[in-house]
Amino acid sequence: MAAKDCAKESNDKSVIEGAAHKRSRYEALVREFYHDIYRYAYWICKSRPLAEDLTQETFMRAWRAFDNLHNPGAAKAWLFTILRRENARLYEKFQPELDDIEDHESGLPDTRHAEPDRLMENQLLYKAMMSLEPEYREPLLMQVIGGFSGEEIATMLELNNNTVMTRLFRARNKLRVLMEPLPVEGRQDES
Amino acid sequence: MIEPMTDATFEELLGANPLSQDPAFLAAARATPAREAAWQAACAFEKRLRASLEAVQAPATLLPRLLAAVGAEPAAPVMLRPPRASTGDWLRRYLPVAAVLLLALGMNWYFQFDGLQALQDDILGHIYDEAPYIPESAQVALDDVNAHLELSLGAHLASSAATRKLRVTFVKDCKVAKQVGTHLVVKGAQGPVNVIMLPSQVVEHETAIADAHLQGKMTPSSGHTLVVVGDKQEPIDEYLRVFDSNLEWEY
Repeated sequence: MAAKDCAKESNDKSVIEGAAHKRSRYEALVREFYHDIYRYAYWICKSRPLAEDLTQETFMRAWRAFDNLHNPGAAKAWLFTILRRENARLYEKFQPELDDIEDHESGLPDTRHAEPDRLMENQLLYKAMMSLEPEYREPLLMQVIGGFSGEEIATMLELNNNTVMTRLFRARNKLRVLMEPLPVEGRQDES
Repeated sequence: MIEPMTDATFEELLGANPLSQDPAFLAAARATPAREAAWQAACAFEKRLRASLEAVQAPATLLPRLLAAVGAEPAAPVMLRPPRASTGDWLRRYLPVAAVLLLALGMNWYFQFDGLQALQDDILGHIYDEAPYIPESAQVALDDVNAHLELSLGAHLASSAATRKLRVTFVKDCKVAKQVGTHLVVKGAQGPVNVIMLPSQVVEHETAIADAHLQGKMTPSSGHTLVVVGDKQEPIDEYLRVFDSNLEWEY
């Protein structure tokens, strides 16, 4: 009987230790990736409150399925995939596009303390990014924020590697054109 | 002998990833002054792009919020062994607790019943609303069903004799029970059989739902919810078993 109790106690202890270990591994995952996940969410859903909700939903789903994550090296790609699907499921189909100027202004990154030049550049980039079609914006964000290679992006987006490279090329070209400073009025007359 | 990179290929690679450390790309970038200038300009633009994208900072409240969301679920049961108490102490200590527990259980049952009724009304209401739009003769291939499920729910139906026999006529994402799930319709012996997969678990155990015309069941499935509803004569349990045992959730 005593041996049985002892075995049960030992089993309980290992269950508790296992749960605590899982929790601490999960917390480490959150601390490591929440900044990038939030940034990516922000740039794809165009709104701070939605990005926060999307980040929370992504990590909650990751927690529920944490036992399925067998390769810790693939954690970031796994989180990005969950986020993309949650965004498609929750927001893309059932919420109107937030694309008027007021929403752009309210959604701008918090750059109150930035230099004026930097602030202007951020605003210009914000508008340029938001006017990029999702098919160009998504791989670019995955590359720049996620740090994924072309092949990894191709796998996540279920596209051919060449298609991804073309989209990255076009995305940068479009951004460059959109971010070109406007010609100063009357310059031709002056010259 | 490695062929020198053409200007077109170099420009494509430069646009796709100006910070590439691929030796062939780096060699091509340094091959001519014009390429070197284009490479430097692209790298400068990339630096500005990265700085602006990374200017977005997660709010300070987000990390505590993320950790607290999971913290709501206890990591492990806490085991306490109180000292033995006399019968009088026992009654004094536990009788009020028992009374409060009974009250809480009663209220829980009442609200749960109320919530279940609302859930049933919502699901059946949705099925009636969609009924006019369900095609009778269409057939959606299992691969297409899975492509939709993968994208919407991160799930797929395993290919088995039972799933290959299903004749799916309709697949759509729908808002049911305050969440976006996937609604499949399968051709049954008596008419359409509705299968609704919800991303969250909304029932604790298998629960029957019915009205004057339809009958069905809701059941938890790996932290999600599976709902099957069809005609009163339809073998609902059989469909439920096929879906529950063949649905594989990735997260």
